Amino acid sequence: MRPPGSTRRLLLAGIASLLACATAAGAGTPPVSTAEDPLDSPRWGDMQKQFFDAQPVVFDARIKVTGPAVAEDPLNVPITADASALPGVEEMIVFADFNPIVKALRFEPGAARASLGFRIKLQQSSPVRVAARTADGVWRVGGAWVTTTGGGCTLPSLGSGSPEWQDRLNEVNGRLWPRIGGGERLRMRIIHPMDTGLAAGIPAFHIEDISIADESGRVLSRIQPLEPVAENPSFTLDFAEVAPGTRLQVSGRDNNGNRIDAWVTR
Amino acid sequence: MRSAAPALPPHALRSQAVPPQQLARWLTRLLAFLLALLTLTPAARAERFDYRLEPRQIADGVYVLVGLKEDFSFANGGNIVNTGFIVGPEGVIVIDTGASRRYGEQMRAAIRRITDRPVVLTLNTHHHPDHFLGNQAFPADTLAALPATAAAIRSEGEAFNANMYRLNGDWMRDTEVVVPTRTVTPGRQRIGGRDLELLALGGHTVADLVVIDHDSGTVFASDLVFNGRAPTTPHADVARWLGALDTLQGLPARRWVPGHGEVATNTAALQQTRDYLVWLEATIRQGADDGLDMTELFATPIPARLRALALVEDEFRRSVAHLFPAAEQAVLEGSATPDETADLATGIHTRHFTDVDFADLRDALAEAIAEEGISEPVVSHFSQMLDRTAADLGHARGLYAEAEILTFCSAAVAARLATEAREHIALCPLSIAVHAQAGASREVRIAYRPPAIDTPGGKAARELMARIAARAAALVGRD
Ligand SMILES: [Zn+2]
Repeated sequence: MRPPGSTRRLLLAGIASLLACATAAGAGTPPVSTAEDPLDSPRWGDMQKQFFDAQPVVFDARIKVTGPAVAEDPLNVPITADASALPGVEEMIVFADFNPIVKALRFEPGAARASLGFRIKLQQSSPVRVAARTADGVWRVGGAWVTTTGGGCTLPSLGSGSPEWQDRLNEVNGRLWPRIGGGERLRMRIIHPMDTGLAAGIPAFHIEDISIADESGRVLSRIQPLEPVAENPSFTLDFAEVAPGTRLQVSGRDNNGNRIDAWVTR
Repeated sequence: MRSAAPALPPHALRSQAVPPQQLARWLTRLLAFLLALLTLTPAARAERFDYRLEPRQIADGVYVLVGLKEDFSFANGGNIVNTGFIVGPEGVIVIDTGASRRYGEQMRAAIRRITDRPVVLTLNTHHHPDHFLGNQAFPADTLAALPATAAAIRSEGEAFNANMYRLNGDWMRDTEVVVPTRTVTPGRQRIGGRDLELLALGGHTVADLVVIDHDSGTVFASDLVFNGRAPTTPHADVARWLGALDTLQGLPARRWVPGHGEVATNTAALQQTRDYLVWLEATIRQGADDGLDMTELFATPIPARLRALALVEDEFRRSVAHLFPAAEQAVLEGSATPDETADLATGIHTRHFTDVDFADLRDALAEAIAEEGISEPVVSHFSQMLDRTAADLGHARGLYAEAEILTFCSAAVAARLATEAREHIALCPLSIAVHAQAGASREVRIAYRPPAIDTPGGKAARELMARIAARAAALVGRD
């Protein structure tokens, strides 16, 4: 389902992308644009006010947002937010214009590649945007439309219906993989219902902070998930500088103060 | 997975001229479309909801309505499914009722054009919406399904119906879920005076009903078999599905009616369905073992032999969404033992097989290489060479029971590598070894060392080798 009233804009976006194909063979173009929203969402103006206010913000095609064009499971939409083509990314935020809770997470890559794999819930078809703030203080925005056929945010999480998660709340299942070209990849999944608070009678209950540290306790990266992150969140991060055979510590908490604490190895 | 991000920022569009004839052509098409919408008469609109169902007689008393090899759409109204009916001396047996009330009604009318005998049994082979949403058009007391199918229609039917409205539009008007009240009993039985056998299988969904018409040797295989179209997996248990295909393979059938795709007179469609499912499961498991993210797995190339299946790209991505979370969970929770292990220090990948014949695995490797469209590998008889040189060089004989090295060169990969850097010639050709342990000739291993360079060509080479190893494993039944 498309957001109501946006059919015309989508049509125009369709024309725009057709033309983009027609002209893509042209000479190299600068990747940065201050022009209007490439995704042509009627919500962009609100997004700009809400997240960037008076700060400088530009669209930047170097930020790659990879996900399904059509979400098979709106409760688990896999997204990879990749700003690694930009130098010196200090923080990234992810938001979906048409979600009832717009902001999905914040990511401080730190020692990790400025690229994060995760899954979100989408209530309806929406742009999924990634904004990366570089050292110059400029926010650079990329995104992709994801079409859904059913609501993801107002459905209760599957987990909250079953008692099973309570015994395993905040359990971390994770592993490290050697990366080709050096360093380690971390993949992990944390048991948590990630309730949005939008389903009747179920208050918001979600992980709000995750730190990844090395064996000396130095924090390498930080993820701050919000309600729209999918149940039992899973994350993919790449650390180019981490030595083989190392262990990483994952720690954090949810909004009820329950702790997360685990070591991840190969 | 293509990223939906536009290739260029919009200001680029304005700064570059668009060929005017292209724009004009596009606008003309748009105008024609809008005019067509405005000028449709009510009769023309009614015609738009005509599925034009033409039952095709495939055997004495056996009819099939073959659907399109497409996904649900406003254009096809959900007519993407095969339904059928068997006319017996005492009545008609209906197998699946289509995607909507309109489909069911038009199917019923099509049956009446062929026979005036009553419908005595209306089966829903499984709980997918294109197989039961025509139930309204058939006598309620003839509707029957396996118990698990009826339960699933009861619990999931409404959500399916709502989604089908979104996907097929007004074709769905007035469609309501009707849950079958009769339970079918598997086994051979006379129904409508016809010698039928019902098989209760599963794997495509929780319960999949197969109907055998012994009078004509026709098997209505339900969605356990797809022909020329990629299988769908929203409720699949792939291992169980493969078991069901084994059962079907053993049936003495003269013709097969798949759930989707053309009627077949041999078992090629069964093999094709199996081939896709084996590849799908191995690919997903391998991706999870390799630490891939779901979005990376979306980008997996479809093997050449499966690319002809309709909708294969879309269905593969949907299947990743269905099946990857469980595979990933198993790997992250450590309950999975990876098929393939890679030694970090040496970069050597190994796969271990127990109770497999050396020659079978070697032949499977050769076949997997051939399936990639690569010309025949050069075979080095490694163990024979070592045994020959043992006396002269003074090393032990019988280091292996058997060992051979298959060397091959994919033109596509080689071209990529060489385009990146001329000295990448050092990485070609690729080779995969297969060896059986001395003293344990049915303990067989594949070993190979993929190029470790971090370039697209290197990645393509690694993926090619992993695919060949996984495919060979599948071919010897150890995927
Ligand atoms: Zn089905």
